[in-house]
Amino acid sequence: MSLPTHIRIRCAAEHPLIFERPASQPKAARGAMMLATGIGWTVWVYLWRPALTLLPWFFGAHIVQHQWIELAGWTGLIDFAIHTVPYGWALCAILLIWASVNLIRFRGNERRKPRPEATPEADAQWTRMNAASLIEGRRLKSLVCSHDAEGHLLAVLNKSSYTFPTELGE
Amino acid sequence: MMLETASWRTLAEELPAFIYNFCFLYPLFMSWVWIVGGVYYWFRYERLGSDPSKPNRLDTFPKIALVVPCFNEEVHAEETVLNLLAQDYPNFEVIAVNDGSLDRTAEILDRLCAEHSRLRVIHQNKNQGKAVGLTTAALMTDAEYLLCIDGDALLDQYAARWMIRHFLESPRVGAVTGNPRLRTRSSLLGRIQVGEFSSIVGIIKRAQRTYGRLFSVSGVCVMFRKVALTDVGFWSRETLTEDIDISWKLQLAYWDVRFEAAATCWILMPETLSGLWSQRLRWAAGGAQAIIKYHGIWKEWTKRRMWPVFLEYGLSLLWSYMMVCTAIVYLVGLFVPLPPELAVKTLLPGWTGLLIAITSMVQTAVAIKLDSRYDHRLWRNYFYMIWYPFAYWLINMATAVVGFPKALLRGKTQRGLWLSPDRGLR
Repeated sequence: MSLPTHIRIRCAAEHPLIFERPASQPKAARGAMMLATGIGWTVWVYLWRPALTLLPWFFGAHIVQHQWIELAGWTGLIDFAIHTVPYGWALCAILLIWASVNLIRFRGNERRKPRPEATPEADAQWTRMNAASLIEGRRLKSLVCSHDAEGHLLAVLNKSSYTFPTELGE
Repeated sequence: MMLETASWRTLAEELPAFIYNFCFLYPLFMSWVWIVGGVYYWFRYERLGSDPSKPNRLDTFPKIALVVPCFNEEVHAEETVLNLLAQDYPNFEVIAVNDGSLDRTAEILDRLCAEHSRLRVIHQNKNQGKAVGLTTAALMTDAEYLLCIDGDALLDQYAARWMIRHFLESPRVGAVTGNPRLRTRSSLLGRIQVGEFSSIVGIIKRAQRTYGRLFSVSGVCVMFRKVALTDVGFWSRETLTEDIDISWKLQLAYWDVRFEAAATCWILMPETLSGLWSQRLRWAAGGAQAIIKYHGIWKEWTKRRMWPVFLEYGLSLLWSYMMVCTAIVYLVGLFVPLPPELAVKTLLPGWTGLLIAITSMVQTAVAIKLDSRYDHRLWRNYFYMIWYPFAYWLINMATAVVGFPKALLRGKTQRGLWLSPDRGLR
C-alpha cells in the first residue's frame, strides 16, 4: 500500500499498515455489514422526515399535520430554540471564554519552576532496593526483575546469570 | 401537610419530564461543546503547530526511553520493536518489558536484543500487569522522558519529536498523549471505530485541552516526564485502566497533561462484538474506578480544575442509568397502564431525533476533517458511521451500567492484570 509521506511506519514485510480486507470476512458477514449500514442510512434519512414535511405538497400534508401540529412539533421546536438552545450555547460560550481568559492570563507566564530530574535516590523510594542497586540495574542490557507481592521492585539480575523457573525456561 | 403532599405530587409529575429532557439534552449539549472546543483547539494550537508535513525542529535532544510492555506478544513483538528502533530521534533507547509471557515473546526479544545495541530487555520473572511493567521500565532507565506504547502498536517515526517539544516548552508538562489511529478496517465494527477514534476520542481530547484538563491520556501512546512519575508514585497497580489513573494522579499533582495530534500511533482494535464488549467494559469500569477513587477532590478547592471533568463523567454515568430506566418504563408501559406523566409514548424520536441526527453526523464530519491530515483515506469510513451514534450510545450505556457496580465491588488492592484482547481481522 502506498502511503502518504506524513506516515512513517516500518511494518513487517508481510503486513500492510492498514488491514482493509472486507473479503477476509465470511460472505454472510459482508452482506450483513452492507445491509446494516444501508438500514442505518435509511433510518438517518427517515429522521429527516419532519424537516422534509416543509414541502408537504410533495410528501404529504398529513406528516406535517402529525409531526408539527398534532404532536405540537412547531411549538416544541420554537420553545426549544427560545428556552433551551441558549443553555447549550452558554455552555459552549463558557468553554470559549474560559479558554481565552486563561490564554490571556497565563501567556508568557510560566507558573511552575523547572524541577530537577528524577534522582536514583528518589526513584529507589518506590522500590525495595537501594539507589546503588538501581544504578547497577540501569547499566544492564538484558535483565530479570523480581517483585514482592505488592508489585514493588525487589531485585534486578543480569539475564545471563539468571535461571528461569520451568514454565518460563529459555 | 397538604402543602407537603402537593410538593411531592409536583415532584412526581415533573421528575419523569426532567429525566426525559436530560436523556435528550445531555448528549446534544455535550456534542455542541465537543465540536466548539475541538474547533477552537484546532485553530488555536493545532492548525499551524501540529502540521505533519512540517515536522518541528529541536535544538536539544534529551534522552528518551521508548517503552513497550509485552505479555504474550509473539505475533507482534518483532514488528513493534523494529518499528520503534527506526524512530527518527538521535538520543533514545528502546526498553521491551516481557511481563512473564508464556509464549515465545522472551525468545524473540532476546534475539532482537542481541542484534540491536539500542534495545534493552527487561524480563519480569512473574506476570505483574502492565502498570508494574511500566513502572519497572521507568525505574530501570536513566532517561528523563518515557514514551510508552502497547506491544501491538506502531509508533510514527516522528512521534518522539512532536511530543518532546511540549516538555521542552514548559516545565509544567508531565505527560503528552498521542493520536491513536486504527489499522483494523475490514468489518463494520472496525470501520465504525475508525470514525469513533476521531469523532469521540480525538475531538473530546481537543475540547478537554481547550478547557485545560484531560479525563485520560491514551495509554497506547503517551510520553511522560520521569520526575512527574516519581512525584506521583508511578502507575497504580490496582487499576483496570492505568492510563486513566495516571492522568488523574498527574493532574491532581498540578502537572499539565497535553495532547499532540501529530504524534500518531497505529493500533489494532477488536472487530468482534465480544471483543469490543470486553474492551469497553474494562474502559467503563476503569473510568468508574477513577471517579470512585478521586471523589475526594470535591472537598479540596485547589483541585477545582478537575471538577468539571469529574462532573462530565458523572453526568454521562447518570445519563446511562436514566436511558436504561426510560427504556424499562417504555417496555413496562407496553403491558401495564402507567400514569400519563410517566408514560413513554415511543422510543422513536420526532423532531428531537432530527436534531440529534444532524448534530451527530456534523460532529463526526468535523472530527474526521480535523484528523484527516494525520490518517489515510479517513473519509471513506464516514459512510459506515451512520450507525455510530446509536451503537456508541448503546454500548456506552450498557458498559457504564455494568461497569460502575463492577468498579464499586472490586477490591481496592486487587491487581489489574493483562487481558488478551481481540485484535481484529488481519
